[in-house]
Amino acid sequence: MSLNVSKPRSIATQLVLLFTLASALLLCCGLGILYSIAIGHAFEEDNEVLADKVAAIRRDLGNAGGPASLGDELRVERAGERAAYWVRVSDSAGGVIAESPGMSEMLPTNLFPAAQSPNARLAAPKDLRKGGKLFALLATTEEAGGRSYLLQVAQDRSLDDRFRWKFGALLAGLLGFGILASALIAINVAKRGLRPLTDLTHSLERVGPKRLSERVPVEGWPRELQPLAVAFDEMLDRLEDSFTRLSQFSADLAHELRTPIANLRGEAEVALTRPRTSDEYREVIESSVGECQRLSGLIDKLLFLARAEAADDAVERSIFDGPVAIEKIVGYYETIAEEREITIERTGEGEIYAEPLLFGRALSNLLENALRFTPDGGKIAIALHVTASAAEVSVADTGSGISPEHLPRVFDRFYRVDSSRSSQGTGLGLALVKSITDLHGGSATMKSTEAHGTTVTLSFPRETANHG
Amino acid sequence: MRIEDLEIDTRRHRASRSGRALNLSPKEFLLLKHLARSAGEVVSRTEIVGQVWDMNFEPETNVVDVVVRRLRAKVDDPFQVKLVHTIRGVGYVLKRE
Repeated sequence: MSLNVSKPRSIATQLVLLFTLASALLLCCGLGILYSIAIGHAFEEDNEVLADKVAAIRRDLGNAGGPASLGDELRVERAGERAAYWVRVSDSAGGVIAESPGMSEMLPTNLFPAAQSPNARLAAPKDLRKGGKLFALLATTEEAGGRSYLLQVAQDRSLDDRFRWKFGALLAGLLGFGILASALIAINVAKRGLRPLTDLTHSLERVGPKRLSERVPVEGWPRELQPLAVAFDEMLDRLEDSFTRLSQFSADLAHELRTPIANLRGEAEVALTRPRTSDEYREVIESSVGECQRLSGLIDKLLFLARAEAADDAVERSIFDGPVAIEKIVGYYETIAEEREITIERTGEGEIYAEPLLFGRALSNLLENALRFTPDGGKIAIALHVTASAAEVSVADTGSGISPEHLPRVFDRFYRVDSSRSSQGTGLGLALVKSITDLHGGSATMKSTEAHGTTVTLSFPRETANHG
Repeated sequence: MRIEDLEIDTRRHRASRSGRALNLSPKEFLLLKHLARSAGEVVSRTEIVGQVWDMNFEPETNVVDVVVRRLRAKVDDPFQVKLVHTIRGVGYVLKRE
């Protein structure tokens, strides 16, 4: 397996590894300290016993008998002594005066370390392994009766050595068992801790287009995972909402297209039922053209909405004078407003940072709606309010208003307040307005009081002005 | 500009027919001027919206028809010969019958 093929990391594995590592470290430290204390203590004791032995030999040498009185101390194994000792006494020239039996073969003189001064406290003996046994070797000098002796003493420490090995093996076994146990505990804990994730996966697996109402039960979750469950639920809410809107939209779209196409077909079929004059044909064709124009207008708007929704790059904005841009759009509708004795009032000034054509289109859609819902002789007020952060344009009419239950959906495509689908308007106007402000990172909001009128406010933010 | 007995003075923004001055609003004048410029050819509503109101899209509300109706009332109604003709579903044309 090459290195760049990385398997996904597993939280459980990581948890188990870390937990096991931590407990292994802890166990190692604890058992290591225990081992060194116990073994250190055992060898400390050995050293003391060895020093006692040396002192005893010195005492014997100092006695009137000299080296000859050593007889008993030279015996390798004596009653009352735990370990075996070998003792050799030589004169200053190197000649052996006395030694334990078999010592010259077992531990010749040259194996011993250099002699230590007799006055100083005895240093640690030299360890030597020979013939499967562990010896502690010590050499020192002694002045007695005007003569200088070299003392070489060996202590058999094989018993302690075996104890050390046994103890070490026991501790190692303990360590192994401890690591295994902690790994098992860790695996168990990790599994138990991650079980809610499996549950979550199962409940998400049940979610599908037909079962968008499936929710993750929040109760009984560990505290850490509750935000996740809540976030999933919120995501599902949004998805369900979009999905419902989308299904509604395609149903509406089919409806919208059906009527004009049925009209086109009906007219053409009726025209073909019998021979007609060219004027009659002309009339049918003219009417068809009108119907087709409505259809292509509808499709253009749908395309615009689709593109606006898919656009991930910001629109190309520029700064322009607000009142001038508003005047241009109002100029178009003034003729109609005049005929219906509706006054269009303009207030406010300042610059707007937006894509000018889209701004005009949004405002024109708002004016169309306002004109549609304002009774003859009414008033429409356009107010521009420019702050440091945004330019807000609001269009208020003195129409009949919209009841509150419609407000959340007025910006939806094909949503009409009067469900009768009156021939007026495509039902896309406000959706278009909303998508234009969305493209600008702004907002479109509607306030309405029944019997008093409706106000739609568009906000075009300025803060991205330095975006280039 | 002159089409039949219709005279358009683009410099002074005035129009007259058979020597009688027509009292046109600015938009009506712009519309007449634009129709006269392509006299004999059909001018579409979208084109008119662009030329007269400087708008690059065609709003749902049809204002062109309203202004054309008003223009007709001043240019054609008092006279025997009609100049402004509707091509249904397409647009308008300025010509003699």
